[in-house]
Amino acid sequence: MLVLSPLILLALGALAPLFLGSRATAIRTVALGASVLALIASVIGIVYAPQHIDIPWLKSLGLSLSLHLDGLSMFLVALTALATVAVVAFSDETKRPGGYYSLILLMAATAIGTFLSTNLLVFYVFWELMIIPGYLLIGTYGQGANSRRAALKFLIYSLVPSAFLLVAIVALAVSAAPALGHLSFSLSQLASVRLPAATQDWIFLLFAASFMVKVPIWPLHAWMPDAYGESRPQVAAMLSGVLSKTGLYALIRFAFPLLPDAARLFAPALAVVALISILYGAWIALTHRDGRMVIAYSSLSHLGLVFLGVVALNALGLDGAVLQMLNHGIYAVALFLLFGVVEEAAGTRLLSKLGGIARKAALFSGFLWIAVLAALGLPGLNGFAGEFLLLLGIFHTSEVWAWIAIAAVVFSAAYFIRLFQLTAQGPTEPELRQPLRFGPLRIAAMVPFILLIFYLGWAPGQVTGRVAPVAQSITRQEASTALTVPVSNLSGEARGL
Amino acid sequence: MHSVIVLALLFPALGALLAAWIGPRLSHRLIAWICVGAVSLSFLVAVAAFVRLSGLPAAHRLIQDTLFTWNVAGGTPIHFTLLVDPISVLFMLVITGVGALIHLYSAGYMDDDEGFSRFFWQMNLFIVAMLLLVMAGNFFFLLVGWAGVGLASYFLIGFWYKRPAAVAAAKKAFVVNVVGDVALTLAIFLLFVNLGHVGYQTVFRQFSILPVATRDLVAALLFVAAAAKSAQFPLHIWLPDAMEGPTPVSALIHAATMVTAGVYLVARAFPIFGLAPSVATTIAWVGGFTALFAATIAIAQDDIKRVLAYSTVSQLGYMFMAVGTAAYAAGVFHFLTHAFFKALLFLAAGSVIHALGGEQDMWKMGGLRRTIPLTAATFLVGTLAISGIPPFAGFFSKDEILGGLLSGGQVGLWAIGTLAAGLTAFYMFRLYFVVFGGTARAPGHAHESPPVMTVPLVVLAVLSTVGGFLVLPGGYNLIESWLLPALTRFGPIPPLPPPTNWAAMAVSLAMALIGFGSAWALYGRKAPQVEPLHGPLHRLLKGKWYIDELGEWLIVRPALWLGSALERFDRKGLDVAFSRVGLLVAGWGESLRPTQSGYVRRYALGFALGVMLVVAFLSLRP
Repeated sequence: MLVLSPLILLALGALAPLFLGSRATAIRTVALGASVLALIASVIGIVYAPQHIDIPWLKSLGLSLSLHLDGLSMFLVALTALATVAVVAFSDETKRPGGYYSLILLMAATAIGTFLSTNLLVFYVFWELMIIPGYLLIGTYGQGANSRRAALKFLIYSLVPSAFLLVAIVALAVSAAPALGHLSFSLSQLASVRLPAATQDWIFLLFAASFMVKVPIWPLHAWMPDAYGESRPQVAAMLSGVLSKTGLYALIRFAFPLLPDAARLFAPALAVVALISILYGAWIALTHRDGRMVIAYSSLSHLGLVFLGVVALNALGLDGAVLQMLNHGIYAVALFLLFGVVEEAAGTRLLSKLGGIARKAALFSGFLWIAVLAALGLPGLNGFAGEFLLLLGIFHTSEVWAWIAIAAVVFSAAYFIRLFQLTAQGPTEPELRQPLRFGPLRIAAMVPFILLIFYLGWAPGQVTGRVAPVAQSITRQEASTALTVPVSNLSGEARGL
Repeated sequence: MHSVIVLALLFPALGALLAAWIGPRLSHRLIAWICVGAVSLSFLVAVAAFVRLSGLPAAHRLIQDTLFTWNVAGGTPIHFTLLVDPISVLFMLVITGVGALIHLYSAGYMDDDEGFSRFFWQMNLFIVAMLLLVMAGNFFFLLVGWAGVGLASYFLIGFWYKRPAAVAAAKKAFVVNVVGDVALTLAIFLLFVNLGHVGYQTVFRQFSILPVATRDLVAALLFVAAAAKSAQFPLHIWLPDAMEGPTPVSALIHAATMVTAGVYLVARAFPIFGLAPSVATTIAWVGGFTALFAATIAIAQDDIKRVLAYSTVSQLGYMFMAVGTAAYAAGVFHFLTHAFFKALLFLAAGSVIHALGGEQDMWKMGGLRRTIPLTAATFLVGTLAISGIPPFAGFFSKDEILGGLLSGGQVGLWAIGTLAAGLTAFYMFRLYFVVFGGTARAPGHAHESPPVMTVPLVVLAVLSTVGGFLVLPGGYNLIESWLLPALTRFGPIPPLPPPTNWAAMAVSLAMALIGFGSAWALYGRKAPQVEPLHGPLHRLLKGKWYIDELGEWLIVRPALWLGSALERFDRKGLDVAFSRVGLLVAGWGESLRPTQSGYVRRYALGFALGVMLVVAFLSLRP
């Protein structure tokens, strides 16, 4: 039951507006309460993981409601809950509050569903359900003039690949059925079958394409600028902080263990795409005039690095990838929300029209500054720990990849410093339409992010220690000899440090 | 129980926290007491560590303390260890000692600035990061301090964040420093992957088992890191711009301590450079080139702080010449004396700027030796020291480097260094004569600074005078005998350069006198009202060889252009390609409107079609 509780709490919270009519304050309070409870439940889940539930459903179709909470999923579940708390605290929808808050909670609940599922069909249901709140939040509750178009684009980019994903899932189960003796969609059962290489290849490509759209990875990111730009900052925070992780997660959880030979075959090609993502996103972030887009393209670049760590196919890279997924979620949500506060007050996102916020709001800029430093990977903060581990894992697999990828670190410093300077420092003083709204609730919602930025910077082992066993079992499954890190080599070196 | 050396970090950390947290509500005097006090206490800890080390047998001078363990990578712990040995303790003494004097001076200099408490917490933060850098017991911990000083430097260069020039300079400094951080990170990766360790002791002991190519690569990456931090050509471009920060910051961070971190790194990692001789030679030549190159620029600058900034770049070049030719003791010795006289010169320049209400153009100064005599006298001591006039400190340390080069057979480097020494005397006396000699070139009356600022000046002037006596010509060398046991701990080191070379000494003294004489002839005797030199060469030097412009046109602008081009492509090109497909589907979607259920139907249709496709595919397969 512990496994399900964050999901159920969020789903219940999403239903609350049905009984509350259009009383905005009440709806928001309930949403906040539900997400705080979900956060508490997910933290308890971290303490008691691994947990597993398995409810048989349609035996003949091999369908059972299998949910699994382990080192790979538990931090992402907690991240989702934490992001939801902050997003609700930073929202103040009054016109149609019921729909807005339910959709936010539904988005979180479905994302948690994808993190927990270990049955491919159940996973697919959550994966598809996740699209609906995304579409409606971008379109109906959008901010820009073209929000409907952006939402449609998001929808197309989500639905087309997932139609193929379904094809791939069914094909996988059908192909494995003879070996298993029955039709099954269960991850653990399917993972025990090694499909012929040709079958693996095309199924893997469909898997990878659908998952990469969600991250997104170049060149499948064309929906991203519109969706992040036309929605409100809170929704962008949700998309970048949480939804992007479902794609990376699914790659680690499903694609690699199920299709190990294809994964190894396509890894170099995927690495090239990842490297392009890293540089492409960084380069655009370097000059973009729109502050929120700087954060958006920085995500393209940073998640490209995580993706590269994943396709490095070693335990170190996976360990770093999961850590950095959590870290990115933390600083990206903080950045989108905090920059959103500036947007709201100044009425513009153009960096040339912003500046000098530091003089008006010291605490606010302090928070923004910490989030920026975490994002640009300052040693001692969380972004660095993940980045270091990721690059180390990448380095193990290919020194060339690491050399190219590390260029992104210099870019990161340049564009994030630029973002901060043009927002908070400098001589220009924008005429604020309204004062910066950074009241007690928003401060309280941001404090956990700041604390985690410091805490995970100094104690990343709290995460990696729990991820490592899972990461090792995946890489062992994936490739028994060639590509795993010589772990024995790594564990003995403590004495010398 | 932790060793007492932790306190060296703890005091300034507490000072920074206090000043940041409750500083805005405290009086300036109290903030100054807290922060100056914190650094002074840290200095006492460094002295205690020094005394403790001297009490130990020469081969066992080492204090280690593991603070905590960073568990990453599935059971691969990285220990956060402090390590104090003869090398790091010298750096600690300078960082905290000179640091405390500069903090004291700042209490006067910054007194009427509204950001007083911000200034002090950031200065204390810098001390913490810098101590972390030199006290780290492994490369990983070093990296944390390395990036930390970069951050503190960024804060303090951009201290007056309303000035666009300060904000731009801060960003430039940060980005160039990150280039160094990245190089250091890559070097750490290489060590970690190949040796499985990042602790100094183990790495140094095992480094020789690596193949030559890897050794050279590690050494080259470490050198790039060092060059970025220590402003060696062509990564020197950030340091002159960093003068946009308050003058005490220039004295502490951009002269005495942080910019010497690169020298520290090379001296610390000497077993690595000993095994990569080609890289070491490159270091020496880059250092030599930088020493001469920066000196030529300093000749033609008009801003009092810019002259000093280029002289810092040049003097750092000397240190790199020394450590590149394995004369580690000479390099560390020059770091020591340079910290004294360059901090002195900057603080005295700050006193001038303070007295003239913020004026930095030397051609608007003049005759100040009569109005602010104490500042003038201390500045003269600094000038004599840096010019290499005996018996001031710079003479001994510079001679130690140049004599070593000549005796070691590095005639080319020696000639470059000697030439640069002549230029140094020239531009420093030019500065002295224009600022303090002659008569006032602009109206207004200058006032001598308060004692809180002049006391540090006097102390540093005394140190700049007697600091050279640690090493005397003829074989008396306290620095070397202090460092040698630490240097030989990891096996034999390359033969040290032979002792004093009297010929080199005579030539460099003659060069210094020629430089002084030319400066006197051009700027001292007649006290011209405007710069008497002109012509294309002077313009080239004044334009700093146009290196900044070159970087701007070759790197920055193309990068920015590519960025906006990619952005346009992302908005138009890529989008169009995908929208062709998208619009097709969208058109279909539009036709199924106005109801939302249209999507559901289409969705169901897609679902069914997909499943049918799979079934068809699977059943048709052979």
